[in-house]
Amino acid sequence: MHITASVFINDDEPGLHEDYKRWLEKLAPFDPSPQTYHHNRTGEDNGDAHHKRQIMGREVVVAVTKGKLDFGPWEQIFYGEFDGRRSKRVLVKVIGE
Amino acid sequence: MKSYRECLTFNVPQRMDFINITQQVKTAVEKSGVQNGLVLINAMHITASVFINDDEPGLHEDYKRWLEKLAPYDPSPKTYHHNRTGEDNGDAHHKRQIMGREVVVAVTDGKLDFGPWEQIFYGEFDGRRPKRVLIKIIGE
Repeated sequence: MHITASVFINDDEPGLHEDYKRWLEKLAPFDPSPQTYHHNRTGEDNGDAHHKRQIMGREVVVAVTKGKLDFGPWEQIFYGEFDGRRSKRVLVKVIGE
Repeated sequence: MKSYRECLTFNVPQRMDFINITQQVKTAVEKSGVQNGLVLINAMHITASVFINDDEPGLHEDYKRWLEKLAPYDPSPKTYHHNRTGEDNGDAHHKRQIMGREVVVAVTDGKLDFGPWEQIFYGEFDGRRPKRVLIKIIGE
């Protein structure tokens, strides 16, 4: 529910998560300077986090079939935090019958 | 509420390629009988994507070059920690994140409610083996 965080589906493999962190830091490095990110002119320091979240996405939609998540063999759901150290929420909404 | 489920299977001969699956999705919507609702189309594998964009071969070539630049194929475990597991597809997990896992399309009067150029694609980033796409339709 916050715009510097993601929910995404991928592998539960620590090496891959380390790769994602390095890659995101390369694509959108943390830099509080307002010269690097115009967004940081607001006094915030999280311009990078808004970019990282766009790469990793905001949400996932998963089919529910016979009362279960209708997943392929390796799919796992993750919360991705890019500007943590404060309370943030994730919304789970389920519809159907 | 009606619901309909179907899986498509693709065995793409290249590591990376894009396949237009719009017709298969249209056929599934017809079979479902849903007039108003939503269709979810998602890759069931984590080195593949489903996305919506232009059916234009030049753009697809552009995507391939751009993805290769952003997340180059490199089986070395020094480039991708993930490849320490013995796999060589660390790049493919990154490419899939850029292109996305799934799309959700509105169904209105029994048809995909699309803009003028929207087409649905399966994006493969670690092919040469059978992989599935889930189509799930709900509505009435």
